[in-house]
Amino acid sequence: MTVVVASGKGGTGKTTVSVGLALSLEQPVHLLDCDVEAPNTHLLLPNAGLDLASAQETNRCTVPVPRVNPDRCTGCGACSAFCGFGALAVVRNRVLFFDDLCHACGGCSLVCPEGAITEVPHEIGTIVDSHYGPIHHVLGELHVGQTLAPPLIRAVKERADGLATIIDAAPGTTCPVMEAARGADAGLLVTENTPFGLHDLALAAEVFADLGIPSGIVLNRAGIGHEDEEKLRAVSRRFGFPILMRIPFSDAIARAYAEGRPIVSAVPGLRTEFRAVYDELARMAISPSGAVSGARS
Amino acid sequence: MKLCVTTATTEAPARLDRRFGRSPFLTFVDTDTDETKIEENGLADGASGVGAKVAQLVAERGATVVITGQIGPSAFAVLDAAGIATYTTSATTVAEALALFREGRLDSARAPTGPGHHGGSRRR
Ligand code: SF4
Ligand code: SF4
Repeated sequence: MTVVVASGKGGTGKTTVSVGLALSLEQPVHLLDCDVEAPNTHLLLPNAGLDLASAQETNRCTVPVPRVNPDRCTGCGACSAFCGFGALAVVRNRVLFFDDLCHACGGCSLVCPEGAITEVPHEIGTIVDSHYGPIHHVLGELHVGQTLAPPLIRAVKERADGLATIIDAAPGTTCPVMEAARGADAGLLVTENTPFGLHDLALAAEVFADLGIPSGIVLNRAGIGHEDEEKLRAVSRRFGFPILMRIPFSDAIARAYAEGRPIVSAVPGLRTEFRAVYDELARMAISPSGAVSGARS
Repeated sequence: MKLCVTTATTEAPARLDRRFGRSPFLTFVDTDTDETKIEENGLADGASGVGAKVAQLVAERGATVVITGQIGPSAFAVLDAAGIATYTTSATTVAEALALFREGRLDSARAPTGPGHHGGSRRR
């Protein structure tokens, strides 16, 4: 089963939940960090301090981008007319290419009547694999200035092979979140019970409902006061997404947060609760067999 | 010489739009004949790469001067490669901007005035 962990906004404890869930399963599991613009699952794993820089040579993620051969190019403009992203401009018979706008669709090389465009690899990020006990941890990190998160997210997801899989998605409801969630069997939406938290929870729930991913809600920092239980229940009812867990705001948990330790090591009973969440998601899931379903898209 | 001014509204006095790329209209002025043509900018609502596309359109129309408020890096690169000079102004109407240009009182932009905008960037 593939579970995607998401949140309508940043800072709700989404990564804490992803890592807590992975550490609680006590079975081989892929933990995929698909928050590629700001991955941080590695900071919460027991042997934190994974050196992201050291792996960059061997795990480069590239996308094919066009390179124009000026000797063949006639300046006809077909490529730039085709490119819906404005990544190619033809002025004075010269082709200008903007790699930060290119979506690597490959279309321009097909439409060029002169065969002047070849595709060359352009590095957008890196992928780091590592192992922590039964956890196979895969982390994608987009290079600074690169905007093309979906291909990197896809590449990270390809490293999972059918075991239990936990995906840490980016916060928000943007295109990279959908890419991370695509094909998942169940979703887990992490929120806080604050006016902003519930507003963003509803936005995220709408996306997951649209994607047809049965999901549950985890309330983090429960008991901080000023909470509107009825509003939280209303969101839960509206989307049919049950509230599966409430992580209290306790001293022990706050200390674990501050020290960058996983909360399951600070509060032993949490492992049992996380396992119960996983079991409940397995009951709700699209393919309850536990297999990662790759067929749906 | 043909000028292009990014334009927000067409009823007189036509207002200048500070954004290159997203302006709903483009006013083209031929300084030799004083002929003025206002063109709707069909590319303004595009999702991505709007600046570069509009810059290419402006080049195709044969303009050699662009007058606008601010311009991003890819649009600037296209205009620059096309040999089009870009002038930035804080004038609020098209007429005012044209008058300032004729008096030689506008600054030509040597570099983009802001970062590019990519649709759908995440919230942090
Ligand atoms: S690969 Fe696609 S997005 Fe990139 S420049 Fe070519 S047509 Fe545009
Ligand atoms: S389509 Fe090919 S020949 Fe035409 S401008 Fe583009 S690269 Fe040059």
